[in-house]
Amino acid sequence: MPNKTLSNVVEKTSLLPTDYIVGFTNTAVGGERRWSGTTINTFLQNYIKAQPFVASAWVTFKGTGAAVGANVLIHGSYNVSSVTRLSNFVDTGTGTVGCGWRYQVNFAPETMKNVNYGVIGASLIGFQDPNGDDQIVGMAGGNTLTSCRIGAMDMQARGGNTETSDFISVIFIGGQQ
Amino acid sequence: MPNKTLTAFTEGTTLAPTDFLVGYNSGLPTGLVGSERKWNASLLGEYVKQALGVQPWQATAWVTFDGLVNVNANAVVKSSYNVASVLRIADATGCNTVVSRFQIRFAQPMSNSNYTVIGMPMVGDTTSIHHNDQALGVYSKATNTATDSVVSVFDMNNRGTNAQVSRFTTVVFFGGK
Repeated sequence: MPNKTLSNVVEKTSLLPTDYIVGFTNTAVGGERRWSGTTINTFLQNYIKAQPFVASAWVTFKGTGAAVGANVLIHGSYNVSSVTRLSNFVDTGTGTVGCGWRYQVNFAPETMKNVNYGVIGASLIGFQDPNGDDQIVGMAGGNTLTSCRIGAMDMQARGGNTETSDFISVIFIGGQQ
Repeated sequence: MPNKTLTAFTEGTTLAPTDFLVGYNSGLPTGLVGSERKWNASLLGEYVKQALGVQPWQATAWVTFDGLVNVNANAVVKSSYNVASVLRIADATGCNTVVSRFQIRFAQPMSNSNYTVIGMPMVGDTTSIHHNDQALGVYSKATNTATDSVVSVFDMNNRGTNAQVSRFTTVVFFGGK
């Protein structure tokens, strides 16, 4: 940087991706660096993404059409690599019946830093086939750093059949810290 | 800062939180030697976060908790953001149903009670489903205040004929600021 005082420096009113900001990466001579606006942007995006109020990951997927052990069709996602259909719930009760479908949401590498992330989701209720699309979504076991299991249960039949949903959405929060 | 042209600077392809950006302090008369300043890059991230304020796309609070506690006892909070505690309050009855209820107390009060509340409990454990098939909802608009919100858990399998709790429930709030 030329030897200038502040009043000699032209002020810009916007920062472009191709502009540079200078500084130091350490205190030693030779530690001087320049960072492009693009690099600054990446840093700021990562900084904000790490905040607790930002979603860690999300996915919407088609719950039907995949065999047990196969991956389902993902409509859209963020930090999710795949969603695997697991075997259906086993009813362990002695009274009313209960079953439903299970899925394992697999995260992209390095997405989760802790296992106590929050999970919320929703499914179809009553689209085209009100007797078969009235599912509720919930947790189905513990969280891990690499995946999370969720279940979809048919409310109309009180989980008494094995129907599932064409459209399931799940959002994860608080795992990136 | 050495007297260099931009091309003489090594380009940093990443900006680390511990790197320093340099510039001038606006609080001093311009053009004076001594007004140069360095800022830790993490301060730039904090500046942007503060400048953003609370945006509508940010969660304003969230919590994950284990609800298996007695009435009038605090649930075990596993992780949270802007939530001080979760108290299991008395079950509510009516219309041949009974629901368990949890009062989520905010760490920093909201500015209003018109926030959005979404949540999800369990519908099964790792492989089975029985007495884990809960749905979660807001108990009443009237119980949403700037300082706390009450959510209720409904046992779907038994159509709410007994009060159940979930071992892992997530509740997320948007708005309210």
